[in-house]
Amino acid sequence: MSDLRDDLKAYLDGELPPEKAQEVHDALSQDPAMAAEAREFEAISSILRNEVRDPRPYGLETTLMALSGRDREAEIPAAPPWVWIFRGAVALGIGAAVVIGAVNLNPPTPKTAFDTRTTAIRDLTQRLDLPPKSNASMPDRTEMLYAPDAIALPPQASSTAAKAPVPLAGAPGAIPPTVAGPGGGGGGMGGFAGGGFGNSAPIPPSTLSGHLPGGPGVSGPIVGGPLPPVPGTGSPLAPFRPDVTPAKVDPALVKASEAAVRHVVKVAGAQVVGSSALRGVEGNAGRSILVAVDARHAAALVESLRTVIGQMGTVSDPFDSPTAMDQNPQTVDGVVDASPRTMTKARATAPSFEKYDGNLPRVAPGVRNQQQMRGQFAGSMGGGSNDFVSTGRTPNGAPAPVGAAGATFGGGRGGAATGGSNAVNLDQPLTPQAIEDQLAKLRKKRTDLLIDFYPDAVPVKEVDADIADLEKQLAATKLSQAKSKPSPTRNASGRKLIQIMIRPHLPGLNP
Amino acid sequence: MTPSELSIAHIARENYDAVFRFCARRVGAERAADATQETFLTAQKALRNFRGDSQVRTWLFGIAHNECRRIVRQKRLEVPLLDLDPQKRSSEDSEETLVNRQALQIALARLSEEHREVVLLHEVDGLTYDEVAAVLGVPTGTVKSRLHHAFLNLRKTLQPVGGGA
Repeated sequence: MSDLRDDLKAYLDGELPPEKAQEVHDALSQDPAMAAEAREFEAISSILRNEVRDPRPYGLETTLMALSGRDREAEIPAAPPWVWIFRGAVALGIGAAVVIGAVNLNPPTPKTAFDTRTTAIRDLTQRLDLPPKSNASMPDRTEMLYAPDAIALPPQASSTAAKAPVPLAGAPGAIPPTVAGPGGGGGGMGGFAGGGFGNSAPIPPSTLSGHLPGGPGVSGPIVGGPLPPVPGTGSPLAPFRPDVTPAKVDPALVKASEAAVRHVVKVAGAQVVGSSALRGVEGNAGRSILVAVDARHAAALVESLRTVIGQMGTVSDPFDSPTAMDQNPQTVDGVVDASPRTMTKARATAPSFEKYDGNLPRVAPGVRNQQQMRGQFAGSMGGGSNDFVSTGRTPNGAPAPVGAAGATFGGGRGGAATGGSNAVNLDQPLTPQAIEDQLAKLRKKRTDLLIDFYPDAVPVKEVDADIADLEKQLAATKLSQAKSKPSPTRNASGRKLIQIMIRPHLPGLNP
Repeated sequence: MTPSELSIAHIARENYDAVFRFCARRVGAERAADATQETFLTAQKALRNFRGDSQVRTWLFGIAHNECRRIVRQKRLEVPLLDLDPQKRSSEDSEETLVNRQALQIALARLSEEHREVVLLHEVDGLTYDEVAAVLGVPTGTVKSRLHHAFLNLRKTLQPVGGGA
């Protein structure tokens, strides 16, 4: 009987031979327990066979496409081994010919003007002291500033150094030296210097010219006179190369420029309230320095900074064009270092910054991406003007005229536009309305999908994920817009913020 | 149709739904499409070795069975509960007195992999003992034995609810 019980399931499934099936049939009629067991087996089988829900299939087309792709791969006949050997030999021959040709035909490149400038900057770095923190060293810096011998230029550069003085105090828009008082820190660059060092006598512009520490390093007029323009561009710089990533810079170059900038800022009585590294795709791409200065002296300081960092960076006022900035915060020219640490430092060093509290534009990380940088450089180069953007405003709010060194002034991003083309922003965020439109489309698509699929099917879940992402994006966009409203006190402050971005884009450093 | 006349696209069109359902019961509906596609891609590679000893569907189920086992191991998936449709319940509903359906789902998931597989192949997928043996690569007697023990286990698990024999 035990053997027959083992065959019970097979009997119910009709999988037993006739003789064996007859035996089980007889046993069932005689054994009620076995019959009850059979009924239970049949009940379970009935449920499993009849009540299991069949999932609705999907993905046939995808599978057919995958199969057809594999078919095409299979149709390509495999090359015999001798073909591969032949191909390898040909490739090796071509490679060897290219290498030999390159070695024989490529003469050593002569030293370029760029090399000269780079050498001058490195030499300056070694000779130039960083701005000391104590007042005790001020006389030394003064001596360094005003004594031509203190900053000896390289022979090839210093020969023409004095030929083209930079018109610092004479820059358009500068405040006449007569308004400068002892220690007042006002009145053009002469006034800045006098105020900074406690000297009541305004320094004549010509005295300052050519002796600013950062100037000789990077500025053409001071180092070696104007560089010959690159053929076809009208610019003394090398033509912009879109294929060159402005992300890899010489740290020494950045350091020298920053030292020079800090020096000028200190002398001008302004304050560095924050600085941060500019990050490029390959790491450190330069330096951003945020400077607070009396609004009346902003234009003059910018003019001086321009001569210091020359064509290596950007000077901009992130608060100068609030309208454009508020419309699209991400197009603000420059990365504003508004980290909590910087804000704390700004409040500590510049009490009037309290008026900016909470209104510093916060630019999302990575906003200044590679395309933007390229675009800005392209714009400035294409216009044949110097590669910087200044505040573009005189203290009374009027647009500043063109500087003596051929620089184009502008406000914020608009300045870049005047230099040629505007910066390219490929990360334009969607407007809330556009996001809501997309959401509506996706929701309709989901409704359509639910006709053919279960809610837990992959196509529906993918749409659900897209909807969730868009909803998050919509919330973030609304929050961002709420935070970037213009401040009524932004322009009421007596101090201005100037952002200096040192971003050497020198072809020789970006192989 | 002889193996030489088989085209993988034709096979896919004919058997896609069955293979999809087969996979969905083992890896869940979310991963069923991937498993099914992998099954047919594998079948495409192995098509020239298919001798036609078994039905194409059985051959595909064998490939799908291995693919689903690989996915379950790789993703460490839990055994999905068999989805029972209450609308398909018979009007007489005589089984309700004997079998609690929810308990059956759980009991089936608790079976060993070998026992559960033969139950699914035979009862749900509708394969004969020989076909199940071909899919699993085991003798037919083994299938018969496993199925019997699987049902004994199910019955044992369901006994408190069903009243027992």
